[in-house]
Amino acid sequence: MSKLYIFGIGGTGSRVLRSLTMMLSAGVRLKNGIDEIVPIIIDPDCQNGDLLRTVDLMNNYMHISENLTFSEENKNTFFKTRINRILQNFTYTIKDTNDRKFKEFVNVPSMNRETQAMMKMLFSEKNLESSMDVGFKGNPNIGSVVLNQIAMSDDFTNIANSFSQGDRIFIISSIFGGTGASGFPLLLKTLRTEQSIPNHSLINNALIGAVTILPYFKVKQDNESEIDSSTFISKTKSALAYYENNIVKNEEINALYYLADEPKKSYDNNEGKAAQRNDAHLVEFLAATAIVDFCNSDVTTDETRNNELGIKDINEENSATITFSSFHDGLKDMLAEPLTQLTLTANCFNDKFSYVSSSTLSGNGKLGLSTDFYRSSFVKNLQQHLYYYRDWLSELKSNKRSLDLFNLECGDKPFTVMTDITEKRVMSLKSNYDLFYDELSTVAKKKCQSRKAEDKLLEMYSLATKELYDKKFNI
Amino acid sequence: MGEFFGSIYTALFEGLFGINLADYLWGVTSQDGANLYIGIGLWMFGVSLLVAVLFYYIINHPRLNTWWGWGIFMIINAAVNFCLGIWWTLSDLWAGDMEVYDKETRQMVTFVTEGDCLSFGIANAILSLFAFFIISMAIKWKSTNVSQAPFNK
Repeated sequence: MSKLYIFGIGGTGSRVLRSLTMMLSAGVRLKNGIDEIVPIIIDPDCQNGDLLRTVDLMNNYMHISENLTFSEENKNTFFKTRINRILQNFTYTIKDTNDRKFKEFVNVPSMNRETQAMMKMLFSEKNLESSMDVGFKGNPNIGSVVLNQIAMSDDFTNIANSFSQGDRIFIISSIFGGTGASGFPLLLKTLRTEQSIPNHSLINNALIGAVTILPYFKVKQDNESEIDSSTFISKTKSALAYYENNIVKNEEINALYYLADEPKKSYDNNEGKAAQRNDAHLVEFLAATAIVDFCNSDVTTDETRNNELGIKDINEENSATITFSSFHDGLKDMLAEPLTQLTLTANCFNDKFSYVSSSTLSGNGKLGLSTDFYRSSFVKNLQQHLYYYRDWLSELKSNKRSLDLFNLECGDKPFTVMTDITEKRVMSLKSNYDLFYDELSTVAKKKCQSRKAEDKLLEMYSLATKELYDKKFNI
Repeated sequence: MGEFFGSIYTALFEGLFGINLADYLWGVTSQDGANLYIGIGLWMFGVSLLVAVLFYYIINHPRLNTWWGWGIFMIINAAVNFCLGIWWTLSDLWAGDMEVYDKETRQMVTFVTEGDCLSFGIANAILSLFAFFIISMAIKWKSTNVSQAPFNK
């Protein structure tokens, strides 16, 4: 069994990791023997709202996953991929950036006159005066200096120590900001060439993939802020040219995924900290599918494979909403069943928890799931995760462009959950939630074989929602 | 079988529906001498079995996995058996099948009243409660949605 090390650089890295965590909780499968991911967030702005939210989500995922045992008899697919936390809060420590200006970091006063002059050619006065505790604020020239410390830290040694044969690496970055644009090439270079780290031969020759995200949102114009979305395109062009000449041509990377969309939404212009907490976006969702694709493809070390993603029928007239029908078969096969299963579960927990946690649900009696169990910290963590999950779907839906996969307000009609697929009729005396409960109790009686209460609960929902998906939707 | 049902009905409820009706059902005073307890007993048992199967396997409704869900079906079963008990005896009474020859008056008379038939209906309903409970205990285990009824709040 292998691990996938995922470096999420900058705010975009955190947001893509958030989408990936949601997919893994739904049971989206990683193949080629990968059963564990090791998320590593590289962001100098460690109070960034996007980062904190993702860390909280992944911690909660771990609490749930740690209580589950995926033995052969357990057919549960939810939370099956393990998340491994090597670094505290999954976050890479970037030293000497707190409460420091860039000129203090590079120690300009100690430089001789010639070097100072060179510094002024490469960095504007604003760059030099820039405080680094909220990241690099769209300045990759700052990031490329500060992030040079990556290979020389204890964190990197810890990561390298845990690396094994067959493990893969994936890097998430945006190309139009500061942290991601500068961090990706630096990190890749370190991974490919650094000889002073443990397991360096394994790491230097590992399969490495990356998704680089081109501009997909704007920020509102703010003269006080250093972030200006009118520079996104020019930065992207420069960075793409750099990647082409220094990464792709040198075959430093095995699979490179490019994602872009015409920016349709302007976010508030927050330079960082807790205020940087953007709603989940379609592009981040698709970037997470690139990670799954990287794991599931037979990537080789022979060449760089460049990947783009197409969505059906996107044009200005019908671009408002993306649904499952907009996806080609590969993406639909990857996502539709597991995400529908978890959404059915989340809606059921949200709307009918008092019933499904009571002894009236026969499945609970059969599996010995008591009302005390439903008050346990495990179930509370699960409820919290399902709340986050619905929140995430809701943000995707309300963003532009909208990813409208599921109806979250189904009320008493759980099978109206898919927005563009009508439920099929089934031969049964029961309908709606009565059919759902019937399926839960049926699988509890006939199919659940796991032994621990935590496993039993999730196995019951996993098997029942799979049966329901096959009967009602099966697209 | 007739002996079995007859013993139960008379041992528990003869005081309720009276010796005259009991004798008729035993076949002591009926014209053909047939034991009628076997018919009424099998109907009572059959209806109880049918209602229990309906509850546990046909309707098998997830929300009825409670003592009151089971109780509703038990009451329906008792009501059906109450009607059945009355109909079974009253139809014979009204048809004149319960008349016996009175040597003193040299006339056909009947000592069974309509009140006795009503009481027999009550006896049949009460017996069906026991039958429904026993059948429930025997068949509940394989029900998917209501196997914990009636022992569930």
